[in-house]
Amino acid sequence: MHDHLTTGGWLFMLLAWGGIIALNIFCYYVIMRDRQEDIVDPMPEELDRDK
Amino acid sequence: MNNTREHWGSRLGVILAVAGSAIGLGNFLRFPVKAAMYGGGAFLIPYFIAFVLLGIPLAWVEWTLGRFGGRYNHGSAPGILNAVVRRPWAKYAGSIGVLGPTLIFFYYVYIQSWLLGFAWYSLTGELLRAVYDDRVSAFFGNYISLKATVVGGVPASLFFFLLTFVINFSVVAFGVRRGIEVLNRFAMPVIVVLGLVLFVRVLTIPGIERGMAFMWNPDFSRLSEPRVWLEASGQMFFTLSIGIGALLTYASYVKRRQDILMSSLSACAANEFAEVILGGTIVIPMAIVVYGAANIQEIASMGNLGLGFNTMPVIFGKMPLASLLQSIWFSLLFFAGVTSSISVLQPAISFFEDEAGLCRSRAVGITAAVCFVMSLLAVFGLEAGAVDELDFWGGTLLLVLFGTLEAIVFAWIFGASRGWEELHAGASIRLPAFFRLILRWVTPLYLIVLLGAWLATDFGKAILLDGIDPAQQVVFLGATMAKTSFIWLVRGLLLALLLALNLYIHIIWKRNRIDERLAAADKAGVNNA
Repeated sequence: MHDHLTTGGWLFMLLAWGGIIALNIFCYYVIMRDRQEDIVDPMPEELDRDK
Repeated sequence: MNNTREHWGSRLGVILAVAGSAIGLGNFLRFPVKAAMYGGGAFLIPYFIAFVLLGIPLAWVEWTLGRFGGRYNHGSAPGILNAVVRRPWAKYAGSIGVLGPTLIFFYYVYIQSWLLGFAWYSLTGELLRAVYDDRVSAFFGNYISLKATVVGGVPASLFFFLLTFVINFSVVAFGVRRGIEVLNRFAMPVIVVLGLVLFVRVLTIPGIERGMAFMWNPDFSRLSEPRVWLEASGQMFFTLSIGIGALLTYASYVKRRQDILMSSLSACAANEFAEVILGGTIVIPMAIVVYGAANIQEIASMGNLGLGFNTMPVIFGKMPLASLLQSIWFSLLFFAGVTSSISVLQPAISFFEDEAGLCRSRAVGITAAVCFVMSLLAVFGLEAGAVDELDFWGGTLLLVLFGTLEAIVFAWIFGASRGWEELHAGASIRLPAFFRLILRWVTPLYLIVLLGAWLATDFGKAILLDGIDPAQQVVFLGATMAKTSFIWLVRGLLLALLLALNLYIHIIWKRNRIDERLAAADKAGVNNA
C-alpha cells in the first residue's frame, strides 16, 4: 500500500478526469452551438394542459 | 386517452432533468465504496468499458424508444413497448417499467427524508454536538427508530418523511415542464456548486494524497475477478438510471425533431462528472485521511448509508466550519435525491395520464395514495428488513430485467437499423458505425450474460432468504413475527400489486381501445419521417 499516488495512479486519475471533462466540454459545446436551432417552440396555448 | 401531451420547455431543461435523475446518492456514496473495494484505479477499466458498451447505448435505447412512443401519446413502458412491439404481451411486460420505479420510490423517499432531517440538525448544531459527544451512531439510530428524536411531539423521521413526501408530489403535480423541469433548473446548479465546494475543501486537507492514492492507485490483480466486472456493470445501471423506466418516460416528452443523441450523451457526461470527479474525491479519500487505510474495510462494510450518515458527519465535525460543511453535505445529497425521486414517480403518473386517460390531478392523487401506503411499509418496517427487500426487487432485479428487455426489443424487434435512424433523427452529429454493432449485438448480449451471471450467483440466495436465521423475530406495527414471514408478506404485497397493475392494463386497453387508436395513428402517418 503506497502512501502517495504512483505513476499508474496519477495516470488513471488524470485520464479519467481528463476524459470526462473533455466529454462534457464537447457535449455542451455542441449543444450551445446549436442552441438557436434547437430551442423548442412554446407549446400552443390550446394544447397546454397546465392552463 | 390523452391526445395533448406536454413537452419539455427547452433542450437544456430535458438534459438537466435526465442528469438530475441519474445523479443521486449512488454517485456520492455507492461509487466510491465500490471503487475502493474493487481495485481502486483498476476498477475504472471495467467501469468505463461498461460505460461505453452498456451505459451510453442503453441510455440511447431508452431515449429512442421513449421519443417514438411519445409520438403516439404514450409515456409509460406498457404504452411505449406496445407501440413498438405491436404484440399483446408487450403491454404486460411493460408493467415492470411502471412497477419498478414506483417500488424504488417507496423506500427512496424515506431515505431521502433522513437527508433533509440531518441537514436540519446540521444547521441547528445538534448533529455537531453528537459528534463532540461521540454519539453520532446513537443519534442516527434514535432518529430512524421513530423514538427518541422528535419535532413538535412527532417522531423526527416521521415528520421529515411527510415533508419530503409532500415536496416530491408538489413538484410532479405541476407537471413535466412547470414542475420537474423548473426544479431541475434550480437544483442541478445547486448540486454542482455544493459538490465543488466540498471537492475543493477535500483537496486542501493536509495529507489528502494518501486518500487519493488509496482511491486511484490501480490494483490490476483484481481485474481477474469476475465479481469486479459484475460490480462495475451493476454500478452503471444505478448511476445512469437505466433500466428503471424513468428515461423512457422523460424521453416521451421531447419533441419529434429534438436531438436525443447529444441530449442523452450530455446527461451521461454530467453524471460521470458528478460520480467520478466529485463522488470519487469527496468520501473515500477523506475517510482515509481521518481514519487511516487500515480501517477503511470496516468503514466500507458499514454500507453506503453508514458511510453517509455516521462517518461523514464525524469527518466534517473535526474540521473548521463543521456545521456548515455537514449542512452542505446533507443538502447536496438531499437535492441529488429529490431530482432522482421525482423521476421514478413520473412513469406511474404518465401511465395514469396517457394509458388510463386520467387528468393530471387524479393521476398524481392515485400515485400519491399508493406510494403513501407502501412507503409506510418502509417507514415502519425498516428494522424488519422492508427497505432491503424493496431495494432487491425495485432497485436490483426489475432494473436489470427491464434493461435487458429494452435492449432486446430495440435490437431485435424494433430493429437496430430502424432504431439507428430513429436515434439520429434531429441529431447534431452522426455516430461512428461501430456503435450500430454495439447497439445490435454487444449491448443485448452483454446484458443477457450479466443477467445470467447475476441469476446464477445471487438470485437463488436472495429468493431463498439465504443468511437469514429462521428463528430471528421482528416487530412490525406492534406484531412480532419471524423475519422470514415478514419478508414473504412484503413479497406477497408486491406480487398483488403486479397482478393488480396487469389486470388494470388489461381493462384500460380494452376500454380505451388503445390498439385501435394506434392503428388509426399509423394510418394518419403519425410516425412517418
